[in-house]
Amino acid sequence: MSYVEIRELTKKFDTTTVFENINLDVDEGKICVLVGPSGCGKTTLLRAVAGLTHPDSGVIRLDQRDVTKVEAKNRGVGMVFQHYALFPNMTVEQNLAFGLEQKKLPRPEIRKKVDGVIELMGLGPRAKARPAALSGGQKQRVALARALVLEPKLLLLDEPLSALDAQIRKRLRDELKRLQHDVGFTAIFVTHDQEEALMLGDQVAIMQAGRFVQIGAPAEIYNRPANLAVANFVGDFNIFDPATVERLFGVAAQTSSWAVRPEAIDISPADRKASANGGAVETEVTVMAVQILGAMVRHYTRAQDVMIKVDLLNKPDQRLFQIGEKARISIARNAIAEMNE
Amino acid sequence: MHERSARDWIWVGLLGCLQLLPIFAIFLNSVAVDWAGTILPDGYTLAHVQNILKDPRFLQSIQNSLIVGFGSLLVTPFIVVPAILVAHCYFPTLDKYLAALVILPYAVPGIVLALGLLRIYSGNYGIVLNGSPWILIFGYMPLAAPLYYVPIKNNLRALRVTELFEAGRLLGASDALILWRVVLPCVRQGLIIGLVMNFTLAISDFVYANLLVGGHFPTLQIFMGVLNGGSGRKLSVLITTYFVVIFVATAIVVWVTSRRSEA
Repeated sequence: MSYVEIRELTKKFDTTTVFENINLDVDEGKICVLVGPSGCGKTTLLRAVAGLTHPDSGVIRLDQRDVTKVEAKNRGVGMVFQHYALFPNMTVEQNLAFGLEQKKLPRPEIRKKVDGVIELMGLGPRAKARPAALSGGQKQRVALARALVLEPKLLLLDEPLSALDAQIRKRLRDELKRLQHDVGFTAIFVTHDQEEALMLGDQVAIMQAGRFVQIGAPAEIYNRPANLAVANFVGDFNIFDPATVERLFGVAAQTSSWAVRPEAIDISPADRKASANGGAVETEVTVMAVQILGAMVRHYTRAQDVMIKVDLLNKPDQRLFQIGEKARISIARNAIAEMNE
Repeated sequence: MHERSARDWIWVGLLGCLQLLPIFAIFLNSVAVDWAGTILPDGYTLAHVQNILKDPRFLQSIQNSLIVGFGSLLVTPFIVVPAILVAHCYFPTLDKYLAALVILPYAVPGIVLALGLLRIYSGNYGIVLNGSPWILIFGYMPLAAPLYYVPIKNNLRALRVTELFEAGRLLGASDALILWRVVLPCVRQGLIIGLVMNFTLAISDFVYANLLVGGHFPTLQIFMGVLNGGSGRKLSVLITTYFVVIFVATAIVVWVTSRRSEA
């Protein structure tokens, strides 16, 4: 039995169905990332788990207890909001102590727990500051600390990093992963950023139009998207429909499309045989553009009228192809994900 | 932050002088022996101040004004402020009607409002307040509503109230506690402005005081009205006293509300 169980959950606003009969399981000590485009229902689902929105039907179980109709404050759930929701009139310490005071804990115990979480989150120098004096990253750390100090059964994070700039976002992502390793909390994390989802999640649930289209480990989601919609959402797959597959690679009798990651494609000069192993498919391309993406170099190539993205690792000795240069690409069979609409 | 130059200070100083000059001139007039045709008075005396202080009507009017002023502060904010907060937090769609409602008393001519208040509080609806300070205290309530509404709404707009409530609920707090410990302190500035303006309205009003209670309960403004046309010196003493009362009351309000928010 899973630690968090969502069964046949349905939520409608007037005539609009946000999600219908959805199911999700999250194991204890794991982070489940709900990822999907805006308006797909992920935040509403998170709010339903928090008790801030009431589902029309279905069951939410937390640690084997049915909490579907339990008040938010009695669920043992902590939540981190996108815009922090820190109390502006209170200092960092007072924000952290607020929830513990509601539990009527003795003062010395509150002090001890607050000091502990301040140390854990590295907030010591800012303990007496009010939220207005904090940076975005610091505010989000306080919001996380405020949820964690109550030792919730389940931590819910609603796009907590989306209001931050890229650098801080990356650092906080690493911190969150470290914290999860150290503290071992169970969390449901909502994001629309696929990179964030793959990096943070032990389990990634892709949501589209109010339903889960794929739930799995990050590697599985990344390498084996369940359908074209997932492939398009999760990343930069090259999608080849059956007709294109036949035209470019000479592989006939296909009924499903191919999805191939740009980094899974080998590229070599046209006059040299591609370094593909047996069973690989090949075609000739022309390099149309080259872009440095940091660790990768992306080549936009064209085979007949089809654009194909090819990524190479940006090593110092990497040979970069020139615009207009003829080349040959090769795709290993095990790099091809076959899928239907 | 922009560094202040000498020119900035000169502008601020000039503005301050412009605002303080009339008050200072009234004060000088209240202690002048004679003041005509010269920039400064010919001499100074406290005789007018002593005369006024000996006048039992003056002390009575000061006392009455303070009763109405502080009475209004003890009643109005406890009814108006919760209404503003509840409308903003729980009935945002109805809030626009409240916005229109609070300015309505200023759209109605004073005499109409006064007659309406007299009618309501003369026993027609089971409430008899005519002739007592209560009719002023309750009568000023609709007039004071926008004085709270505008500054408090400005503070509320800067807050994500729904998220604060949700965060508070998840931390185990009741809505009433979140209102008391989070929302109210966050609108403290607006509340202080409302309280000061409410007090100033109650203590400086002549029209409604004259129409609603008149000689039954003479306030400072009514006493000023009585002296009007008489000695200009005495009137200056009254006006100076009025400014001192406003200043002291404002200081008390700011001090009390600041202490409350720090607690």
